[in-house]
Amino acid sequence: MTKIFFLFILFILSVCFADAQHFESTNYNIDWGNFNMTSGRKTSTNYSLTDTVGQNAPGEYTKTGVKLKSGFQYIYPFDVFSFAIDNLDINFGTLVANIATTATTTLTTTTPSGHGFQITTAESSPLKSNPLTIINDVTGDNSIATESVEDLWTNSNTYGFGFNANTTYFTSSSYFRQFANMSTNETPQIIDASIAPVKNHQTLITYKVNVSGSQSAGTYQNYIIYTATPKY
Amino acid sequence: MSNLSITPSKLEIQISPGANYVQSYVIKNNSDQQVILNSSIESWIPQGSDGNVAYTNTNSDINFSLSNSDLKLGQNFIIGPNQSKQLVLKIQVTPELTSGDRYLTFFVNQSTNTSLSSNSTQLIKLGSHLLITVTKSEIPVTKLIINNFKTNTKFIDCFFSPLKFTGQVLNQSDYFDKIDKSITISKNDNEITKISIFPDNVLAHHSRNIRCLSNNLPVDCQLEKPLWPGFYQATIDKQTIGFVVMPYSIIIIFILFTVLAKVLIDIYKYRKL
Repeated sequence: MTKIFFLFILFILSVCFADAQHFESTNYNIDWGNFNMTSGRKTSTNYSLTDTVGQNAPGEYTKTGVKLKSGFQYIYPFDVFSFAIDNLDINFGTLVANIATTATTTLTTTTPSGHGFQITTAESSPLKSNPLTIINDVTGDNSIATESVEDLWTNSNTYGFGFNANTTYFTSSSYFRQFANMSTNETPQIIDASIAPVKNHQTLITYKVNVSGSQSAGTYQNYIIYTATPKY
Repeated sequence: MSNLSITPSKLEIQISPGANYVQSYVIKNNSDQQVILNSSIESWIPQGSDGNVAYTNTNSDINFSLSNSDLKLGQNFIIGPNQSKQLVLKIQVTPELTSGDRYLTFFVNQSTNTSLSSNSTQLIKLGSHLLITVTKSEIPVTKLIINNFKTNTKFIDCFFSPLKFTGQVLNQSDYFDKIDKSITISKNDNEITKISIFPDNVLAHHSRNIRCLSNNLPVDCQLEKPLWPGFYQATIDKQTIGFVVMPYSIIIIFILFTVLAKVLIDIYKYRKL
């Protein structure tokens, strides 16, 4: 009788946990990806082991109306996507006409196991000063640069604001593109991507600005947004 | 410095119309400064055949909300230095929703509540993809076929020239699926090895370049050297390509050596006369 009682309790618990990975009360929500007995990384001098004990159907499990197609031991448990920018504020200082000013920043990406990544970028608007005076986005020495097309920019009489990335999306460090302008609904463009997984992959971004003598004095500002996503 | 991470990096679910699903995300601020963030959902379409995406600025017909009692999508929240926060995303599919896939990204967007203090203020937008199949079927039918399967060359040296396989897997169905295929290498109709294709997702009516699986990692699809001379075949699904492996480098060296020896003998004979 006692055995039957325990089996009944176990059955009730298993049914609850199979569907109840989301727990909630009036004030709290608790969500677990899986109900595990234990999991994690075990290490000794020579070996490293990751495990998940008691995971409900790793790889694929179902509940009413829903089938989850991935689990954290499906290929390998490292499923964290990280992205960093080394400095949030880019300052060009006082600009001198016909002398280009540059500044750099480094993006650092770590992808989940088995997945590459893509980084796109866009600006909130061109560099803008009140009242609505702007430094135009650069079009390059050959006037062909856009948010998706690079152009050489070495001429001191080429004015504007643009960027270079040390990636395959640019021919060399002398080529620049415009940031996609979100205020005119331009589409953010890919500036770095990898089909292979990466760990602490670094992307060097070089900003460049050059103004003519007729550019109005003022403090010019904008936001630059870097969007990082893993490959699907 | 700003440094964020998101777990999980991807969610793949199959959901029936009328059903709900709840997924928790852990957002971690890995920097020593607090960050202001908010969350959003954006739809995308695949771009190219390598897993890139392009955002469409269209609203999804699936309802998304946060189950966190103190937070809504789009609402700012703060994560302290080296702290984490759990966001609980609720996915609600209405009963009348049509079958098919939806591809979206759950984003955490860095925000700022202070006026700009620099020329260009850089902000992070970090995403985790949602691949959602809406269907009434328990096992939706998918059809993945291989396209443009080929090697970089038909004539392979036993020792030197690399033998790489390329191709795309085309999904002819309305639902995404993972590649579950392998390349069978045979010589004289005897199977000598199998190379597993990396189980990448192929989205509905879209192609994906193949990669191969080695030690749980994606690698180029290539055959290890050295190879014995002979006629080989590589087969995936029902597509077969043939290639010839010969010791071309040794043959070339032998021919060069023979020609050189002949020239030297002729010079020697000429001087003797």
